[in-house]
Amino acid sequence: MIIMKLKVSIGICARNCESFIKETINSIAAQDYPHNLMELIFVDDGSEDKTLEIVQNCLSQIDISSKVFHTPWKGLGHARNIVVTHAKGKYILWIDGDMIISKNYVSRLIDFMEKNPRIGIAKGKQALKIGSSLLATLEAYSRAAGRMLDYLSPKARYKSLGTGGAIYRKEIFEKIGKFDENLKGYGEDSDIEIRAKNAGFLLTTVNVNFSDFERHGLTWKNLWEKYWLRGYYGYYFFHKHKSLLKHYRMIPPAAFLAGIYASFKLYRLTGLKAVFLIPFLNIFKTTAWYIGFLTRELKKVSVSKQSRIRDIHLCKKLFI
Amino acid sequence: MSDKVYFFNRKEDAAFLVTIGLCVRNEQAMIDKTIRSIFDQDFPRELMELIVVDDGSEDATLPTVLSLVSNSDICTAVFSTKWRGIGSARNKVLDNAKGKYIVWIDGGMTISKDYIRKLVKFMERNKNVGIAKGKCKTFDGKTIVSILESLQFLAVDFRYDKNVKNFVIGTGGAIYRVEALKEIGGFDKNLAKSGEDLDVEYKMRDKGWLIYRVSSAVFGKKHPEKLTSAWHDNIKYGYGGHYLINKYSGEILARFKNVLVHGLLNAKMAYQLTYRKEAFLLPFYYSFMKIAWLIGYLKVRLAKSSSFR
Repeated sequence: MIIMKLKVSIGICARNCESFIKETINSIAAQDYPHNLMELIFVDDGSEDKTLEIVQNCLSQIDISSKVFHTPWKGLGHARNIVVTHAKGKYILWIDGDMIISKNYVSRLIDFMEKNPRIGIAKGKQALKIGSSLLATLEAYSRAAGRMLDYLSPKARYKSLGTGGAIYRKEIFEKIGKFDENLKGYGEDSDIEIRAKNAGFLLTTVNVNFSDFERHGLTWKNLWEKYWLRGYYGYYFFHKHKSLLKHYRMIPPAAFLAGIYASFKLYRLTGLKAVFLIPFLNIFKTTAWYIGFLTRELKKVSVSKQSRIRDIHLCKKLFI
Repeated sequence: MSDKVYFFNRKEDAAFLVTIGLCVRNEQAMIDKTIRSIFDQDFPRELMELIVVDDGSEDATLPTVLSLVSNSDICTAVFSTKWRGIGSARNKVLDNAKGKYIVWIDGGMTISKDYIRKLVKFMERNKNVGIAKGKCKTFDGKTIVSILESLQFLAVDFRYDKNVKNFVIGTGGAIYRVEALKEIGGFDKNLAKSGEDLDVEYKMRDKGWLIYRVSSAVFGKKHPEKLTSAWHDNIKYGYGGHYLINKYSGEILARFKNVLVHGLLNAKMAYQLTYRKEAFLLPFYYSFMKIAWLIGYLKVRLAKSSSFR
């Protein structure tokens, strides 16, 4: 009798995503990969809405063995570490709470990883689909364009793949340790990718599609909040990897130029004229990012100022 | 359907003193009260964990448990499996327990506020005790059947007090020493419907562990209210009895010889304690229920022999 060994642990780290999670889990249940070789680990990072209830309802209908963790909010780094601790598979596939993966996603990625033992992290490509609004389409396109490069070339040394949709070899975590739990909202992916690269693993993309949360439509406010948060939490990351500090990439004019480059590439691919608005979108996004980043920076200053004032008071009490 | 596990407030490599094992199946009516009574314990929360095994419920038990548990700060694991029987469910708790003791709570039970504290204190003081259990609260029944059931529990609790030597005290509400339970190899997974308690207590006494009743700790239990449900319960006990009689040939049968005497003694004790005249119905109730037991026993027996043929 051949004992089938668990191949892949699918880790979903989600928070307050009651409206998307059902589709996500259903897209996993629809995979053509054998279900008894998969396990599902869901970490509910302090949701306050009905996420848990919906997840329970969905899971009761599928035949993949699953574990669900519910913790008070401790950040993305911590949530991902829970998955790493409990994963029994040879690979870990990270799915975000608002993603949909195509039917052959798991099988293609595993096939690829089995054939290429030097690759440590691989990820599919974002689908170039027209979203429900122009803004959503543009955002999805610009994100897709950002990853349209050869990750194996030295040019892409500092480019991040992102964790959502990526498959990781489990041995990575044995070699370089787990995620940094201080990276609570953003940057845990870039951090671990840099460490993986330093340990000699290769990163690449595979030609299989997923679609991100932009398919649900996007408002300007959402977009602003998203990039503001990225800037806010990016702060810690930039201070951890000082040598990789690349502020100039996020300066609005630089982002504008990058946007023009990306829009030509996208126009050739899709023929959609609206892609020439992407440079302007980039300006908006990076402004939000910078403001978030600076907010965090200023907060630190104000904290240190407060402590200085407290010290002065203390000195006064002691000496006068 | 494959197994699902839900973890709440999980702490890796934490050592707990007590694991509360809650094995339920289709208990949506009472589960709310049961879990709340666990949350209201005055025992320190850092020292206890809760493990719930939902053994293939088909009603709203699981969603109720999850919604209750997600709002608390107790370290909890909820296992949702397809039906495998009470023996396997209890073994699942034993495998995942990190505590030194396990307190078993059943679906229809509520425990008083100091229940766990008192039992743990008792176990910490008496190192040679393997199992200890509190006393059942009396008179929360309305119908004659539930009154009789509660009178019976009362009488039994008083007749077999302190060191319980030749009587089954049952798993629901009992505290088990994990060390002792592991020594005898856990529960028998073949006892799917009932009798897993008797089996374990038998083995524990063999190994020299004592079984005690702690009078100061009190729990409440939902007694069957209709004659039919009591009847079905006893048929279930008959199923378990069949397997046990095969396992321990004869030793257990001795208990059923003097059913009527048992009933009379219980009736006398119950009347002395409560002065309720219903107590004298107990012998009849007793023999009636043993008929149900016998039917359950014969059902398995006949099914076995016919399949054998």
